[in-house]
Amino acid sequence: MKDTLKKALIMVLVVLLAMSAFTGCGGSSAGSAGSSGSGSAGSAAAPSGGTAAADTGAKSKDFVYVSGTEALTLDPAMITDSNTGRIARQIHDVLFERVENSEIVPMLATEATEIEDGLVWNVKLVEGATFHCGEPFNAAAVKYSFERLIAPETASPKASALAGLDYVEIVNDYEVNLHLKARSLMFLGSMTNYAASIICPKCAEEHGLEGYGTHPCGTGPLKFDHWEPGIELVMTANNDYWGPKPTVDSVTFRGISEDSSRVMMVKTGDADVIAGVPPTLVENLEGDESVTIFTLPGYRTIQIGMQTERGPLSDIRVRQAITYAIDRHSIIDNVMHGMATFPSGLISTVVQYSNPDLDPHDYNPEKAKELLAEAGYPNGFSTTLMTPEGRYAMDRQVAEVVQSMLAEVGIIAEVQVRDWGSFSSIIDEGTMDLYLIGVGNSSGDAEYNFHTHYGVGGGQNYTRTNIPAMEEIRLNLGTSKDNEERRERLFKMAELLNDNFSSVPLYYEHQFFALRSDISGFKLYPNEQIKLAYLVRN
Amino acid sequence: MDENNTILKNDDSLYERVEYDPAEEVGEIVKSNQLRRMWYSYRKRKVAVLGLGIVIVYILIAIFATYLAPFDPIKQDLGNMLQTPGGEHLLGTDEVGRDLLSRLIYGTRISMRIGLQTIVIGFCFGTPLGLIAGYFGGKLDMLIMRAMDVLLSFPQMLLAMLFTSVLGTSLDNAILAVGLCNIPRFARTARSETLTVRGSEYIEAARALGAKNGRIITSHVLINILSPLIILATLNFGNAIITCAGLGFMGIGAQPPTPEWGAMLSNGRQYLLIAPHVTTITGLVIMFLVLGLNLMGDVLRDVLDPKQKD
Amino acid sequence: MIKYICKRVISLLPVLIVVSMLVFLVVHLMPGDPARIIAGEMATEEDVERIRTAYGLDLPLYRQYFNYMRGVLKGDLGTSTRTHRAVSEELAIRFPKTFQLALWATFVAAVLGVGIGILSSSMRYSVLDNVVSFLALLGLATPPFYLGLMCILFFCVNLGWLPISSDVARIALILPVASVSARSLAVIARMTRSSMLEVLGQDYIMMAKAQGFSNRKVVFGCALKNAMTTVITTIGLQFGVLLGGAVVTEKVFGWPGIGDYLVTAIKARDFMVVQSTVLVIALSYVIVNLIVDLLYALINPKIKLS
Repeated sequence: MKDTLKKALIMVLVVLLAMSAFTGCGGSSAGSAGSSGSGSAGSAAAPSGGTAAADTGAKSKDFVYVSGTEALTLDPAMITDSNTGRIARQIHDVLFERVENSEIVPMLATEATEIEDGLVWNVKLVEGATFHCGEPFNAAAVKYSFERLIAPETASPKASALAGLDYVEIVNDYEVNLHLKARSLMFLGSMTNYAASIICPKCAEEHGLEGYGTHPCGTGPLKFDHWEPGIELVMTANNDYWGPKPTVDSVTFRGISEDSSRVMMVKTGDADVIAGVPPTLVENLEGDESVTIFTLPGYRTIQIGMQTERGPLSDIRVRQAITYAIDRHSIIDNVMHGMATFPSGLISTVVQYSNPDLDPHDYNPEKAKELLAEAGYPNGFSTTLMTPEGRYAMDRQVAEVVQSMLAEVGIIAEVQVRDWGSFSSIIDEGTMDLYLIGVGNSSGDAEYNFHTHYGVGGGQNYTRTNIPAMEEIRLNLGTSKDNEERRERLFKMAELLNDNFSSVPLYYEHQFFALRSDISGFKLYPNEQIKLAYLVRN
Repeated sequence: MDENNTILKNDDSLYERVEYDPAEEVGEIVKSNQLRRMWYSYRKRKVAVLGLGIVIVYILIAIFATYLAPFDPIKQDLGNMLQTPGGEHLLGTDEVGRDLLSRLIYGTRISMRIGLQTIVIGFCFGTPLGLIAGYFGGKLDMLIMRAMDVLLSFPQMLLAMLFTSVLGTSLDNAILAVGLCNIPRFARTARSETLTVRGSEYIEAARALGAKNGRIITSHVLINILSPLIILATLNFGNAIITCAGLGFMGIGAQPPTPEWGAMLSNGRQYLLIAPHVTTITGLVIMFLVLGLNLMGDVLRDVLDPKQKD
Repeated sequence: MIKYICKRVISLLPVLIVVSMLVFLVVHLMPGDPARIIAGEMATEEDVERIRTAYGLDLPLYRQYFNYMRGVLKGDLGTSTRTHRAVSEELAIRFPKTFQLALWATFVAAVLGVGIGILSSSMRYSVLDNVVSFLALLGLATPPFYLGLMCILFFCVNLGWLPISSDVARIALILPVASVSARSLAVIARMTRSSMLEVLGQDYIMMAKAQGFSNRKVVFGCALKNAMTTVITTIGLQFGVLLGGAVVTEKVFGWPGIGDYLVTAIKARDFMVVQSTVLVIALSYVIVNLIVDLLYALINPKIKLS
């Protein structure tokens, strides 16, 4: 027995040792991969290397970018969240991009003209750009990228970004004709979406649909180096970039979900740029001289949606009452710490062609009570308010505050916090009453929202909005003779929508980034895009 | 969080794997120093009093929450968000200006409910299963215990999370999920205790006298295996509170504005940098209740476990 | 012996099969339409339907199960619907992370726990013993995620000593290991103390003492060796528990292990990931417990095999 005992113990020790050696190797190999990469990338050593270098006078050109979630995939056709879209766009360029003031400027294209009554867009491309693998950028790459996105085999969740596209015709190496199914003036805007990024046909074929997400190859100023999921994603400078040469050596991307941790990292210098600073911590960061805050109103409108086909909510007076019962100034000042824009209608005013002069339906609890009594609910009623948590800044808190404001006029709303998985399918089924949601815009053009969110048959018309007068204009938008006429029509539609009270716009969300004060060259655009290739440490 | 079931794991080993009970109190066998022994039991009693005292205080708070809470626990005051302790609000306010003290006081009710209901579920389903498996043995035993093994193949927290995801997010479902996770623990303990009791003379005697199985199980076996089950229940009480707080922490438990401790702790963590008191105080409140329960459980183990008596 | 091991392993097989069915069923009972979730926020109805067919989500449940299990047996754990990456590939990166954390935490808990346990058992009823016993109880009463948050608050925010983010350096292991191991440490210390006391109370130890062996010799020579059976079992079980995923703690520290991976997957209804990760966790949990059982049977002379 004694021998067996000894043997067993020895056996266990050996197994344990083998196991620890295995993990030890795993750890150290990861470490050495980092340090070997640091010759060119400075990956793992970047944060500590940054401070060390600062002491000796030579400024490190390696930067660390930290966001709330890590990138999910780097295949532009497969991305569904804006954070990942931002990261993938560092590698990939698009034909047109939206810059400040939501203006559209050419990027990989030089010009675009509408021909054949607007059914075809003729696009001329820049010459001399190459993909990271060395392949040239040309018309074939555009055709491949666009047709890959809309092909059924790709099963891209973003195929609708180029929904109006029928096929791409190559005119010559640097000119394409984009054939549309119907005339669309917002098509140019659609091409600014990250899903319409140009990818390298050779690499995409080589790695297939499964592999491209981890082997991306674009024409962007940064190129993919390596990626350890859950740990870090490293990009290095593309020194052969066709545009202005990047000033960084490398950028390391990390995902840290805890808000306080992320903020601590930028305060201590463990991170150079962080995304998604919660409004509550903005003040805290403003007091820190080593950190600068970057903010810009974004495309996203946080709103209380109402399923207009259910119970009391089908009565417009009830919806009006709910709108008047919510003190949005108080929410913006107290919960959001003033870091949000008071809304004019459901579409953010930084979106092109959105109407900035709509009736705000301001806070008026007395009127709300009157309207409720008129609608036959003098003592209010019970309902539910569903909200995701952690998807938008302060989402659950805002829902709780709305709940208590509704209670003031007699509406008892039970708050239901749901993770995004169940939330999205419940609103799709339409079995909810009130719900808090952030509605974005992937093209930067107000027309997009009317088709997708507020039009009959729209993929995300969760409120079941159906305004006949608005529908009539919407279906004829393609006949607008120019963008000026389209703007007038869209303004009229916004008015009709605003008077329908199908959702309560709470505020337009701001994007918050914080970076070390000694860093310049950071670019932030209203369509949630950023540029990291031109960071400079001063 | 799954670290929780460690206590229970130990208990499994106490009752199943080990023929003797390794609990510290066996040290009482030491007869060399009577004086020491008296001192020891006195100290033990003091600890028992402390544990019991803590638990009673919490129970009283739960019962008289309405009278004790200075404010309405769900009344918001957006102008007074995240106030630090002291002043009008004794323990400060949370992220929408609700009084933290009042929320903690009402939260006691919820935690007591969590503890009780999960134990009741575990006990009511686990004990009969274990009794039947242990008493009748054979195929039935194997079937029941394999089913329990399946449930035991998951760390407790993980299983609770999966169940809650399926049942839908709510406090009741979280309680149900944690209760379900308790079933195999009660079943195993009940079974192994039944196995020991089954062979004893008085059961043989009862059987010889022609007593029916059902009667033997309820009036002889159950009575005799009750003490380890009570100990398990006490220790599980605190555990259930921690597990449920974990679910609340992950956002899959109680719904706002319910003042559930785990959810409060989780909400507070977003403000860790500017208002650490919300998280700190809430955690301490959980800790003391579980500490009290564990102290009580430890002493109960001494008093009730017949194997301890020499 | 080998017969016993075989018997134990074989008896596990049906359990594992039922576990896989249960997991599959549970995952598919979760509310939420996976096709819609894959499609994302801006998708149209056609996008969703196309994805449903492409991923085989329109097949009956039993066929999906068989398709899945066929893959699992071939080592294919499916593809994440969220990252479009092979689950096995991602688990290969994350499992060692959890393993690393569990191993370090068990190591720390075992060394300190056994040490403290021996110390306090040999100085029974002393101030030290009382303090240690109380601290151990406190350790059991602290929710691990709370301890983690307090560690962050104290060491990172107030003192600024340690980095929060994982994997910046080895030093980042300190806080997660500390908050994960606290509870195990308490359990191990208590168990060591009680089994030491139990052994020290046995007749043969009395005898040894009576024969004039020094206290130290008795403690380390005879008692420790005999108390170890229970203690080793406890340590093994603790390792299993930690390996099973300190789910919430990993979340708090952003530790890139399987717990964090799983929670994110559950919330996003990434069915393949949930299914396969739970299966892997259950499997490793069961295997560790089996090893501990066998070990116990091996080193404890009082238990007869069969």
